[in-house]
Formats: sequence, structure tokens, C-alpha cells
Amino acid sequence: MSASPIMSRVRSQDTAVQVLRRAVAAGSVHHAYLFEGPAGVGKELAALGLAQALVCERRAPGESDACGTCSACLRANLTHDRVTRHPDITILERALYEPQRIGRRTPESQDISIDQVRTLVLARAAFGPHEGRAKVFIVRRAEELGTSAANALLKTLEEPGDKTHFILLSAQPGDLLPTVRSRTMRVRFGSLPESTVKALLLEQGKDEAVATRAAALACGTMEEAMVTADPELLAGRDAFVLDVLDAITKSERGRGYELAEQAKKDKSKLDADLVALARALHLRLRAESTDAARPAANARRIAEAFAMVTESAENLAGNNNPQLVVESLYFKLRDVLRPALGQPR
Amino acid sequence: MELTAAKKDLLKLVNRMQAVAEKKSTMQVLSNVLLAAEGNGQLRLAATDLYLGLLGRIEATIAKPGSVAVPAKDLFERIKNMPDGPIVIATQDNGQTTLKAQGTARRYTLRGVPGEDFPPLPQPQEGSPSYSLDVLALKELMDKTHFSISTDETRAHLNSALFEWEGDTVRMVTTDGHRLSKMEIKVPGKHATTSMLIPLKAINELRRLCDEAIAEGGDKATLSIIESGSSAFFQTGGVTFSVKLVEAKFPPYSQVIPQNTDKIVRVSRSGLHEALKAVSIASSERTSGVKVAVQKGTMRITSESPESGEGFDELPVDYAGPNLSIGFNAKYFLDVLAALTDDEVELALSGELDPAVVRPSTAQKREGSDFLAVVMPMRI
Repeated sequence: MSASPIMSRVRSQDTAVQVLRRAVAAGSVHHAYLFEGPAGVGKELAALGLAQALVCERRAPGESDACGTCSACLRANLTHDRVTRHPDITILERALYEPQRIGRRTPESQDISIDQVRTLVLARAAFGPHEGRAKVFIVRRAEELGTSAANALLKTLEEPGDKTHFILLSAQPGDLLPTVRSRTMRVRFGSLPESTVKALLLEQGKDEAVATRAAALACGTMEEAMVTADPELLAGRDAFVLDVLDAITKSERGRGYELAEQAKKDKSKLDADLVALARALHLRLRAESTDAARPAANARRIAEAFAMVTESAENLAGNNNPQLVVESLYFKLRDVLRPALGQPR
Repeated sequence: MELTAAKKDLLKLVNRMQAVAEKKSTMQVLSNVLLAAEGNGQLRLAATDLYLGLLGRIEATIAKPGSVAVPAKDLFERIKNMPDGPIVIATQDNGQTTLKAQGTARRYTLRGVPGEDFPPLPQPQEGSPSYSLDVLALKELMDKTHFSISTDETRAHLNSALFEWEGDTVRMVTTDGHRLSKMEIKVPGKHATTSMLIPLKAINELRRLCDEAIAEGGDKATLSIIESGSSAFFQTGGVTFSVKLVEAKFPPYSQVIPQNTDKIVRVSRSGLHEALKAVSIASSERTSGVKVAVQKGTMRITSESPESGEGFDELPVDYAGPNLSIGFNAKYFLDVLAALTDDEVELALSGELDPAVVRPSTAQKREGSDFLAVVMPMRI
């Protein structure tokens, strides 16, 4: 684990980092932040950096950054379990902890449960930080806070007591309860420039050609870049697209049910798969509509299919049953796409 | 790390440690106990759940200093199954820890983590105020008041006991909103001023610690209390027990204690306990409500509930005032009566919907100790 302060590892987010460093130096770190911006641009790294600066044993008042080398700083780094070893830096995330550790019987498949908020936050609310400097709670994908969990958090979020700080991370801040949003101070994180994405990929040992191509496709986020730079992950995503198209061209419908059956097993993967499918349709649409030789009806059908896929993705985000979403999508796509693919309905 | 220590010492301390170590924390390392071999011939052991911490030292022959954190329960079971005599504990760089009974073939290997991964326990800052108190006094404070601590963990200020020291009086007050108990003991010659809120979980561990200290050191055992930052440290018999204090405000309890209780009922403690217990089995399970009616010379206790029928008992009391009938939760009275040891208690009442005060009868009051409990009435 590198011994530099975590904050110095945040790239191309100068405004956000400056705001946070200034707050640390001035000793005026707010008690509740909302870091908003796309997934994979450094929100979590900045949150850990801020937490590290707050718990650092050697940081003198007025200094803006952690030393990075003291015991507390080293323990502020993430372990392979994606938590820290510092007792005063607590990470909340849906399904991060085994259900029985947070007093539940079932895994958190939908949202960050009230049980997690109770065991990790409320139970500690009345006590000071273990090592005396600060208590920091980082909430990954804060938009997944369930309504009851968010409401349970409200009072503490508003008046967390001395030396306690919350950092909510979210790529969809609009999905947070307005009551939660209004209690937090917003810090915006933008997309990364292509050059930064490429540089980070090179640092991870990707070769020049892969990094250049992946960075161009990554939409400025490392999350996307990690997929586009990894042939295996990329192939996994393409596989879904090919599976769907294959199932549509087959005359029997059984394959569609199989796809739906698989989909219910992994909701988070399905989301990315649908995006990939929409992207593939988009590329196809572009090819169709620029080729004057192709019938105009085809382009219209593909555009319709594209709309269906994005609608399904929205339904999925709105907590619809993944199996039903895929099933109904399959039959709708079959109807509109079979003629475009030169098959009878 | 490599060291040799006696099984007897290890077993005793590790047993205490495993009671504090948390099995089900979201921080895995907290289920471990820290073993740190220091240069001065001592093995330091530590366990914490972040709220309570226990630190102890035993004599050991250190061949190579170092530290490791191993699962507390596993360590305890393995040490327990070792033959009596010296045990050799050795670790490798990856945290793998071997226990071996010296002179025998029995051996265990445990998977541990490096000692640096174990969160450091709070330490008292230099110059923090330190007080010395008889273990017996602290034990009595807790024994007489622990039952009325609220078990609702979301209300931290009631889920704890208020410990106060004013001049030469130590006091403990607990309440759950329906009842309150207060115990005061004079400790002549020991003056201090402090006030701390000790969480229920710590009170339970402290009671055990006091029992052990008395078992070892007899009635004369003392402990020192150090207050530093947001923690309090209790030291006795070679172990330091650190408690994270509740940072909340205890209710202004003196306002709850009724002042104008003019109707005094004196009654045998065991008699009342027995009668209440007997009648309450016929009370509603949910509320344990019983009606207590006093008139000149007698107390009648009745209960009735749709599901369990009726119960009735009568006992002689020393009372000369007007007739009065009040509803109570029998359990609240039984808890108080069970905690007391006096032969006769005094109920101080005022009206039908006013709280009752229970205390040892003034005639028998022991010098230097003062107890009272307040029980809120209920409508029946």
C-alpha cells in the first residue's frame, strides 16, 4: 500500500480537492458532504482522503493533508474487503456486510437497510471517536439508502455531534430523499479527461493500444474504462447482446425464457448488459440510417427497439422484477426486430 | 514473536478477553485478542469491541518480541485444552500462530493477523484525574441500581447509569422512564468531583470485574478510576477496563423524585415480595399490573386480567393514614425488593396517580448508605 496521502491520488478533480483541502486546513470540515458525479471518477478516493486527513495522528492544525505514513493513515486505506482497518472510518454500502453482522437474516438485495444504519451509525452516535480524532461514515451509492434507513439517519445527519462527519457518495443524487440532500453540502466531481483515464490505465499495466482505445470509449469514468480495457469483461457484456439477438432470430421462444431466468440471478450485471444492448442497437441504427440502400422501415424499427431497451433499463432501476423485465423486453424486441433482421414474425 | 507463559495465567486472562471481544462486528479484527510480547518480560493482552476495552498483562519469558491478533474464542478453547504448565506461543510473519505445550507433543496452529492491524485501545492521558474506590462500594452501587437501566439501545442516555462523585459521596442513578433507582454511599476520606454516564454493557462487565476482584482480593480490594477524554478507565487486579462514556445528558433525576409524600407505609420486605410475586402471576402478562390498596393496618393486593383470571392477597402493614388504592407494574416493585437486603421497607405514597417511593425503613437505615427507588403508577 502506497504511503502517500490518499487525497494526492485523486486525479483531475482540482476544484473538489481544493475545497476539501481548504476545509481541512481551516478546521471547518462540514459534518455532512454529498460527493456527486459519475461512478469511477474519484469520489470514493477523495472521501477516504478526507477521512484520512481527519484521523491522521501527525497532521498539525492548519495543515491540509494527512501525513500518509502514521499508523492511523495506513489503516485508513481500503483493504481487499473494501473496508478500512481504522475503527473510526466506517463504510456503508448495500450488501457490503454479511447479513448476520448487521442483525439481519436476509441479504440486502434492494437497498441499504435500516439495520445497517442502526448497527453502524446509530449505535455509535452517542459515543466519541475510538481514537479520539474524528469519526467518519462513508456511504457508497447513497441513493440506495432505503426510505426507512434514510429517515433513521436524518436526525444524526443533521446534528451528528462533535467530531463526526458523513460523506455520501452518489452518481444519481437526484434519487436521494430531498430531506437527505438538503442536509448535506454538495461537492461536484466531473468526468475525467481522456488523458487521465489513459494515464491511469497505463499505470495499471495496460498496454498503450488498449489504454488508448479504452480511454476513448470510457465516457470519462474509470469504472467504464476498466470494462472496456478488459477483453474478458467486454466479451461478457457482448455475450449478452449476441445472446439476445440470437434468441430473437431463433423461431422457438424458449431461449427468451432462459435469458430471463439468467437475468434474475444478477441484477447489477443486467443493468450494464442493457446499456451494452442499447449501445449495440445505437451503432446498428447509425449504420442503417447512413446507408441509403437499406429500407427506411428498418431504421425505424431499430429506433423503436432502442427505445424499448432504455425503457427496460429504467424499469429495472425502478425496482421491477428483472426476470419479467427481460421476458417482456424479449417479446417486444422479437416483434419489432424480426422483420428488420429479415425473419418472419 | 516467541514467548513462554504459564497456562493458568493465560487461561484466566484470555477468558476475560473473550467476553469483551465482539464476535459479530462489521470489523472482523474485533473478534480477535491482541497478544503483544514486550521486552520487559511481560505479555500484554487486549480486546475491544470499540465501546469496551480490556487490557491485561501477565509474566512471560520473551524469546522474540512482537505482536499478533488471534481469534479470542479459538485461543481460549485451545489454551483450555492444553495440559497444565508452560505454553510456548510463536508466530510467523504472516500471522500464523503456533501454541505448544512445553514438554509434550500437543500443538495447535491458529491463523492470526499482524498486531498492527488491531485498533489501539484508548489510553489515559497523562495528568488525568484518578480516584481510588473500594470495589465493594462500586459493586453495591451497581447491584442496587442496575435493574432499572433502560434496555433501549436507541436511547443512549437511558441505556446507561449515571455515576456521580460529590465530596465524599458516590452515587449511581438509573432510570428507564417508568422507574428510577438511586444509591448513595459515603466514602469518608475520599473526596472527588466527577460525573459520568456508563453504558449498560459496561455496567454488566464491571459487575463481573468487581465480583472477580472481590473473589481474589477480598472485601478490602480497591480499584482506581481514571477519567480521560471520552473514556473512563477502571483498574484492578492487574487489568485495565476502559469504557467509552456516553456523550449525552442524563435526565434531571432530582425533579422526578417526589418530595411531598405524606402517606408512609411500613411493610416487611420479604412479605411484600412474596405477596406481589404470588398475585402478579394472575396479572396481564403484558403489563404485570396489580392494584395495591392500603388502609389502616392492612395492604390488599389484587390483580385481574381477561386471560388469567384474578389473584388476591392481604398482608399486615404499619399504616395509619386514609384509604388509598394505586395501580403498579408488579415487576418494577419486585426488582427493587429483590435488590434490597433490609428486613423492612417503606413505601411513601401521595395520591392515586402519583409516583411511589420505595426505600429501606428509616428505623433500619444503615449509616453512610442511602437508597431510594421511584416507581410510576399505572391506571388499572
